[in-house]
Amino acid sequence: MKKSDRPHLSGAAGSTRAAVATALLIMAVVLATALFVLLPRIERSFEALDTRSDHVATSIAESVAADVHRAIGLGIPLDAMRGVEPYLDNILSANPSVAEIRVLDPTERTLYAAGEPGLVYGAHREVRAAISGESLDGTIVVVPSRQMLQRVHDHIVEAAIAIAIAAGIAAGVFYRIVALERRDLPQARFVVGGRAVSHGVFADFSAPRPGPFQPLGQAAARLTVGLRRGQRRLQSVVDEVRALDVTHTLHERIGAALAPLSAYRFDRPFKVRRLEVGFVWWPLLLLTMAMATRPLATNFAEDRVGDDPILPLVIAATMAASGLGGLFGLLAARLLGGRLSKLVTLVATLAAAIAIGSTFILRDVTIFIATNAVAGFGVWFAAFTVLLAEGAGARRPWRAALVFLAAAAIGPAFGGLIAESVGRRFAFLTIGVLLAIVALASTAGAPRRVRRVRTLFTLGPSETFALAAAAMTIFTWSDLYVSAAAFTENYATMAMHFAILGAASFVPVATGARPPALFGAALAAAALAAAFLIDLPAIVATVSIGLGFGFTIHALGARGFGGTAAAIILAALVLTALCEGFGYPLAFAGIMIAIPVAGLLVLLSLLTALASGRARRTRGHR
Amino acid sequence: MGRIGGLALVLFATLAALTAFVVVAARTVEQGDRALGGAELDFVLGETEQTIERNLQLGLPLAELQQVEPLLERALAHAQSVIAADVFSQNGTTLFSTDRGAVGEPVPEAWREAIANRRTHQSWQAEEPQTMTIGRPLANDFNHVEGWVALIVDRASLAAPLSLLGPLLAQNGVIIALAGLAALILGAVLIPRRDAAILAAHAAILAKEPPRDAREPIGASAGVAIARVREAEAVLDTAAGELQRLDEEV
Repeated sequence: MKKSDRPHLSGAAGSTRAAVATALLIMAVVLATALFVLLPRIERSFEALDTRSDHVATSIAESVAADVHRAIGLGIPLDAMRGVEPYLDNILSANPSVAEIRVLDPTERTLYAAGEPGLVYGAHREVRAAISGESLDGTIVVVPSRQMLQRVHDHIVEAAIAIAIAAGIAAGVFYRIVALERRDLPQARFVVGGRAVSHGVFADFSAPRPGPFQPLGQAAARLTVGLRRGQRRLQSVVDEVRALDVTHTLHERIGAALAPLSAYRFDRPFKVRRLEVGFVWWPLLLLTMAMATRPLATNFAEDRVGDDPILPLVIAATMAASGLGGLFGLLAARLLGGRLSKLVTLVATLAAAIAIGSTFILRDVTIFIATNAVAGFGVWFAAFTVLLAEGAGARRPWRAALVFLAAAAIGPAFGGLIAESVGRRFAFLTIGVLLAIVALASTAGAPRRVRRVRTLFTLGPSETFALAAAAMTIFTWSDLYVSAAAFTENYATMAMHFAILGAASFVPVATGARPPALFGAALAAAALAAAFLIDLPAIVATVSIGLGFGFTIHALGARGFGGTAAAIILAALVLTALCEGFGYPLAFAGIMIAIPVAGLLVLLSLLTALASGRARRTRGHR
Repeated sequence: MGRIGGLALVLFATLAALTAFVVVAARTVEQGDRALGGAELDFVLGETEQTIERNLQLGLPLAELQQVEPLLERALAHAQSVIAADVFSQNGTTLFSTDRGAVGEPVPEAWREAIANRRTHQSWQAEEPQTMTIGRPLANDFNHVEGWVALIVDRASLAAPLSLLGPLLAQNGVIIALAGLAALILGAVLIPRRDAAILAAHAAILAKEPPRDAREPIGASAGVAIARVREAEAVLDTAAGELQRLDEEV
């Protein structure tokens, strides 16, 4: 049997399969129920929209009738008016809730018309206003458009997709974390303990934590208790005999009797330092809440300046503030985090909560940019205070994946859905309040002891460039395109894209596929380029970019979630912001600058991979 | 996580997600309703603003335009949700109003704040406890703002937040519960029972007999451990017997 074919000690593969099954099951049930059962019933409440559409159409019909009536009053015959159709076109272009306007003469003959009949509700739905003075001079017919109805319908469908994915991932991740703590790690300990016993080590293995393995672990511990007790009794007899055997005549016989026991050890062969596990839920919650602002931040900044030419600079400053704040937060976590864990998680998270929540009342874009810097600093400082501590989630790639990728998948979908439900400002306030609760939650439990901050994992040059390219692609697509350009104030669509992006980035983790990091970065960068250069459909680009990022980060294993990787990801955010900023003096879209930069990073990753491969071969020949 | 925990998670997540879906859908419909209401008001306001500006462009001062009052009355008649329409000067004094008592009075502070905080596009919106006011600037030929036109809307006529949620949840509660039940049943099929190996290993260790299911990793580990323990017990017994004899000899 090959090593790779052997079942894993911890049974982690089984837990991953069960978690994926749970996530897919929830996604399927929620999506099917929402789209095929609930949506048709919710559509009945669209009647309110019909009524409101009729009001708009009535207002427009009456206004047009009054204008035409005034013209008739000036002596212009209805069928000889000039400029009526451009006038109707103007009204239509300013009022998307109306599809068609017609001016009819008293015999119901259409004299003037404007609009697109394809957008109407149905043939029979129209509003009429009479042009009447002393007698009926004509009629204005206005047909309400179904644009708003269609928009509401589309938003509900997109919200269903976002909710199904977010709920599935949240449940799958929760399942996986609980399985990890209660089942996989205790199983690994039990199996390793059993194998140690099979090698003759009968040391006192401590019992597992509460969970399915606790009774088994206790029984297994009792199995060796009798042996150790027997060995101690034997040892006392040996001591007694040796004490009495003053002539040493029995020395050889005692040695011969004890010889078979030399194959066994009744104490620990080495000192075991028990690492703290758990508390992974906290950085997961913190990062999820913090990521919830991603669909909101750049378009909020955009709205502060509107069509002002400095818009790219404002968006760039917002993103750069988050990235630079995060980098300083990482540095602070490296310097202080291990010593002041609980104080840091409370204060830094509260600072981030206040910064994000204060957006509710903010008007000034400069202050908003400053709050982004504070939020970035607080969140990354607090999160990495926990994650850089020895024994925390970053030690194991699958556990860290559950923190980082899950937060990036669930958070923005959650933020988008809140903004869709209560508006953007209230969404910032809600996220701030939730972050404050997360901050208080970090103080729960026993004091966290001072722990050593782990050495930052280092990445090779090729991996560094690959990770930077993949992260830059993600930020360009999601923050610059989805949030700031394509779907401004369309939060359901944003939530859907972020959820799909997150789900796609989880595919490599769920399937265990692990091509080189360069492959993922190249896939993401190619998808980004294709989206803008050959009009690759947005949804396909979202899936491909998410997959590419997932492949890259999964290929790096535990190192993909260490402090170095986090610094590279934040630096990529700043680099994306710089591309956007350079768009201002160059009069060029920032995205079109970011695409070649991401491509260049992929190329550098390839070249450094080839160079290091050649160096390895050369060393091999020597 | 055990199977029962997994099933509870599936049930909870399904119910929570579908409830969240109904909440978001209700809010989306309400916001669509509000946007349509806004479109109607925006149209009426735009028409009023353009007509007043046409008169301003003739060079007359805003305060002396005689046609403003009928225009405001017309705006009031066109939109059902509008309870009053005002035109006020740049210094915040009401010049014309469908509410005669308001003429000459200063406009509310909320309006001034909304004007000060308006975004780059021209319209503004002020929220007050009972009313919502939307307004636009009135500019002359030289793009100089002479004053503002505002429509005061009764908030009760707009879709109240979460007014749809209760009825929608009541109508669809049973369906959500049935979907949760379906997820539970599917979960019972899909989520594997993974405790058999643990129970078998436990029984084997208690009986000190090799487990029936000795597959990797739990059963095999338990099996080799039990075998080794039994072997060690035999070795210990032999050694203990031998040392007992030596003890007696001594």
